[in-house]
Amino acid sequence: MSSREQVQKVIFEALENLNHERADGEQIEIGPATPLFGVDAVLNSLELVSVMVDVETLTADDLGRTISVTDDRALQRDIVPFTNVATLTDYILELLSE
Amino acid sequence: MEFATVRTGVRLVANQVLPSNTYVLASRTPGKCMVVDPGLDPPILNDALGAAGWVPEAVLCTHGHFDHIGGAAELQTRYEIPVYLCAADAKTAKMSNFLMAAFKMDIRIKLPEFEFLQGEDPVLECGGRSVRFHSVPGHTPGGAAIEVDGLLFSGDSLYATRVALSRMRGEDSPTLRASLRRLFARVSDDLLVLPGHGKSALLKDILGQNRLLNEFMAQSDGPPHD
Repeated sequence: MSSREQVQKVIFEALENLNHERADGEQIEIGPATPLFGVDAVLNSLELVSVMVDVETLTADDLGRTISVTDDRALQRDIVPFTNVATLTDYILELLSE
Repeated sequence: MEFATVRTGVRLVANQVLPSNTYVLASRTPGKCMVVDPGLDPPILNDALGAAGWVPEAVLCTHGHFDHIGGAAELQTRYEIPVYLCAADAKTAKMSNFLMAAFKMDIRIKLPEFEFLQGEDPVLECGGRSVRFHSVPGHTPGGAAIEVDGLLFSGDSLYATRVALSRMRGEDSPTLRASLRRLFARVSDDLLVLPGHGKSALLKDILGQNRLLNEFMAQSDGPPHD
């Protein structure tokens, strides 16, 4: 069973990958409340796609599980799972528990 | 409504929601047709099919991006027909609604039940014609250029006047370059290329006149990785 810390580490790593591509003055502050999607999002459209693809890849590489956070199941939630790091963490933990 | 004749038996539907090209190709059976890359404007396509009196018997998808499969489910439901897509693009298709949300588009699509084509360069017998899906990974993992009777439906892998790449994660320039080199070596340059966006042109004219493509093809990919 993967822990919240393990899942959060995966998401943080994906965001750190993004920060490597951003300029010094445009670094994202990474934490559980980092907004990923919606009006407060700190990611643009292409960056959101990149981060979600990285999260899926890193979950497979680091946690040994294949999941999808970008299919229709995710979008049918009342709260979109990729709203922020915390909601995404919850959703991934749910997928991993199945 | 735009439903232009490209060549005898081939018509173009210009989608408006997100501009893209859907093609309708007459089958050998009179009144029947195949639809290539149904986009995000099913009503326009349905009106066009109705006006022409053509009934689809299959849907062919060059790749799994939402603007090329968006109308497939409605066609499948209405006509009970297969929708073909290379298997390597299953994941791309499943991301459709996520991608539209990410790009702040309000519409959502329903996915069809795909008939996934396996392996490299699969060939179908469809509509009385031989349909070859040339594998061209690069724009997406399962992208294909579909060759039918002197036509090449190139999706987003080959355009007439520019290079088919965006900055979307998952696109791979060296892979696309290798795919196009392989494609150009395998097909006649007399083919009429019908891309997913923009104008159509003969392949030999694209190769002779598309400066951006030629620059892209001339780029070095460096030494191979271990």
